[in-house]
Amino acid sequence: MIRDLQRLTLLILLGFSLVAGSTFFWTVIQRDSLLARDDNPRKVLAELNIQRGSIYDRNGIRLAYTEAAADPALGPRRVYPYPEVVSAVGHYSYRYGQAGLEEGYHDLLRAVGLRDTRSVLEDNLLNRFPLGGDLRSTLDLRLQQALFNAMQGYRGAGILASAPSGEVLAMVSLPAYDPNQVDAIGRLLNANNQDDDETIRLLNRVTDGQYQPGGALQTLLLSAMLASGVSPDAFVAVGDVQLERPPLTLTCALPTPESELRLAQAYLRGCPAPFWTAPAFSITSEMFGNILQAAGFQAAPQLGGFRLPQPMVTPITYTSPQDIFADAVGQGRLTVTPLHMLQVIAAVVNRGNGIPLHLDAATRYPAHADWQPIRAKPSRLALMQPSIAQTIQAILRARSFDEALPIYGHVSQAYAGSREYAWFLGWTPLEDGTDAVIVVVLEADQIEPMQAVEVAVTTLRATHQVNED
Amino acid sequence: MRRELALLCLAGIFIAANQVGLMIATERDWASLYPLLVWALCAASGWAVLNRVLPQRDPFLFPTTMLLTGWGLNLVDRLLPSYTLRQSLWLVIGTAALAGVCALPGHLRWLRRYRYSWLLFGLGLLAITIVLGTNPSGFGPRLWLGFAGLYFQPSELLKVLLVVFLASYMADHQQVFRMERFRMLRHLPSWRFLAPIFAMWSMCLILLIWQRDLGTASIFFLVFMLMLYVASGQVLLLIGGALLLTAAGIAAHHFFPVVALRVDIWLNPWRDADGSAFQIVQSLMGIADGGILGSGIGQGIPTFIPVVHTDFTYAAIVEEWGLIGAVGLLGSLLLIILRGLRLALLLESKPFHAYLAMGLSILLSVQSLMIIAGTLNLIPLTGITLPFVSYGGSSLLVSLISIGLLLALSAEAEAKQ
Repeated sequence: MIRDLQRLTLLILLGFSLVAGSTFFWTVIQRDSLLARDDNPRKVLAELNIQRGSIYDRNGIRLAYTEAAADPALGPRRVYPYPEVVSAVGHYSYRYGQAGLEEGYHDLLRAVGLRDTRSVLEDNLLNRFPLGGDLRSTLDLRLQQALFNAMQGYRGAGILASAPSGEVLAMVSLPAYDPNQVDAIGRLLNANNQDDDETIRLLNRVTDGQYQPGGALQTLLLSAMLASGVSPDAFVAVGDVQLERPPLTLTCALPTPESELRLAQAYLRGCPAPFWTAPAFSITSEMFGNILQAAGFQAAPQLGGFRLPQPMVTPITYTSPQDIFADAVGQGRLTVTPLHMLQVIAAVVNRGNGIPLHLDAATRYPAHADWQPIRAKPSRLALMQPSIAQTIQAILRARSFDEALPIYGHVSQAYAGSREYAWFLGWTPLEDGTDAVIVVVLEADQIEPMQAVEVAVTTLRATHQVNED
Repeated sequence: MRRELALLCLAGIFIAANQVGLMIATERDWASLYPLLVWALCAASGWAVLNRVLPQRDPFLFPTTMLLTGWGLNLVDRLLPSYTLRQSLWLVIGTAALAGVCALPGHLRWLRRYRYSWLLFGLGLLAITIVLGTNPSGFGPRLWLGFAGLYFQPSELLKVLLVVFLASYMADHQQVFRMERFRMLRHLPSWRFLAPIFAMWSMCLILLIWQRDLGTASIFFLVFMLMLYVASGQVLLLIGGALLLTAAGIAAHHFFPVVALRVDIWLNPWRDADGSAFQIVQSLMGIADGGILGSGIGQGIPTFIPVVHTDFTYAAIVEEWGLIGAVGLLGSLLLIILRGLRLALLLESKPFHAYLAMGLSILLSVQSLMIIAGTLNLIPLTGITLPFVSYGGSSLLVSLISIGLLLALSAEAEAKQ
């Protein structure tokens, strides 16, 4: 019996060893793979319980933060006290993803990679939820609100930045959505009741809106013409331009009773005719392609702090002068984003060079007091020669769009099917020696170019007020 | 005695730390510590009674048992606070039963002499559930007898009564079991010898299968085979038993849809993780979430596991106490089992006592291993409780009675030494 009892004991010990080994297997070896499963509710709760960091504007005003929900079972919720910043700040939703700065700095805000081994062990031992890092943006809430309010009632995009630093001060896409309600919108979209009105709100027109540039391309073409030796004082015809494909009649953006003007004046009024005949001024198709390349139009735009999709852009090639007719007046194959166009006007005030557009200014690690500044990636865009930029700047300075303040720019229009677009590319020099550059594009079935000017001027006035404060 | 007191105090510190931790984690008030008081009362009074009636006894059995029951009380309070009072009540009743068993005179002769009566009593109670049985939840198999809000599951008592019966029978016929000829399987014992034992065992199985309590039926079968093996020394019996069990499993897979479902889930739980395999998948996720240190009492989410308080208490323990807690639990159970087997060795000259100690240890190990292995998906899941720890008054009561019997046997062993 003793021997049999011993065998029985071994059998029982073997059984217990097996279960202990199996427990080790699941708690150590297979732990990570099980915790990473999408159907693991603990993963969801762990994510929801992260004390996501805050996003601030340049003056320290909180634009996004996390607070405990009234019902503890729901976990903390993300709060956006100023929904008008959604185009820049974006949104956070566990179920439907992130956008804007929330997406661009998702890891920082969730404290991914910020905790050392000791902190992780301490948090695990004490079952503390990780605290995310904070982000300070370049946005100025006052300017963001000014641009947002000025664009009310319109559909389109606007972006305001500082040159030469490239700090984005305001960024608006309308119609927009309330980031505090993103889960409701997501549910609506996921229910396959595709509500176009809701879908439209989710599009960020500043970064992803593809627009016909129309007359907005004239600044680049003018720079090419000047570079090829054409004088800004040369007389040019300013009549209507008739396009066949697409069938369009293009006119000057501003009222122009004359039939002939100096090139500089025609440019100021947004007249398409001189640029329709651009090939006659020795701009070859190859040169035109190079112009677009240099301006970054043949690539996806860059915006620091944002994770912009980098689609494969098929460069447009021009093999004969006839190819560029429609594109030369901005009504052809070429489409641009407001971000692209901002570089054009920025180059005018920045000696022909693009600016490093970015929305992120500094980061702060959890439970730390100091901010770590972010160095923006330098822009490699060289859109025009410095002397040409100066010349164009001088042309635009001939007329201010405000009686009291120096607000300069170029107004133009474009068409796409039944839609009309009003473009304004402008800037205002500030007292501190920098320039505030702005692009506004509005769309409607019928829109006047001056409506885009009004939005821009209102915003640039606010820039001066803020600068004085 | 000092050693036992020290172990009991250590157990008390562990239980108290858990209960206070639970209070803090779930933001309860001081009144929520009452289970701790109940446990302390049971531990103190049980220890006092044992000192009086069994001054010479195994020093590890009682403290380890109280550790596990207290841990179980913590767990019930964590998982299903509304059941804490009931579980506390059963702890009091169980401790009283343990003390009562230890205090009974006669060296357990009252068990041995009336083995048929005891077993028939158990079978009778089980048979009554066929007619008058109920289920506290209001649905599912009617395995309980209820009175005044208290429910008792006769199959739990029947486990111990079957072990008592087998121990007594094997002790009385030990020579026959150990015959050389029998060893060679050339001359099997007569049917008059084997009939009562197989009849009794078969009645148990039939009743249980009729009641669809297949987990308990499996326990009965395994306990029977293992006790028979130790009594006869025939390894072939074990092999034959394993083959029989496999055949029974295949038949059950064919005839019982619930068995077929459980086997399919066991083979691949990930195929239907959100459906039929939800419970076992959540159990494995909970176990993984515990890691080495556990999430802490009240800070995990074991309540995601359906019916966690009865079938998946092991998963809840691992989630909140981690691998370290799991090792502690397994070690505690193993300690009780090994102490029981040790008793069987020490009491070799008293066959009934030896077989009883062995049988009770086998029962505890089989039940523990079956449910833990099921929780870990090592074997198909069975709906049985983890002794001492899971919620369940009948299980707790019968487990404590078993420990009472082991303590009485340990006194016999100490006296013999």
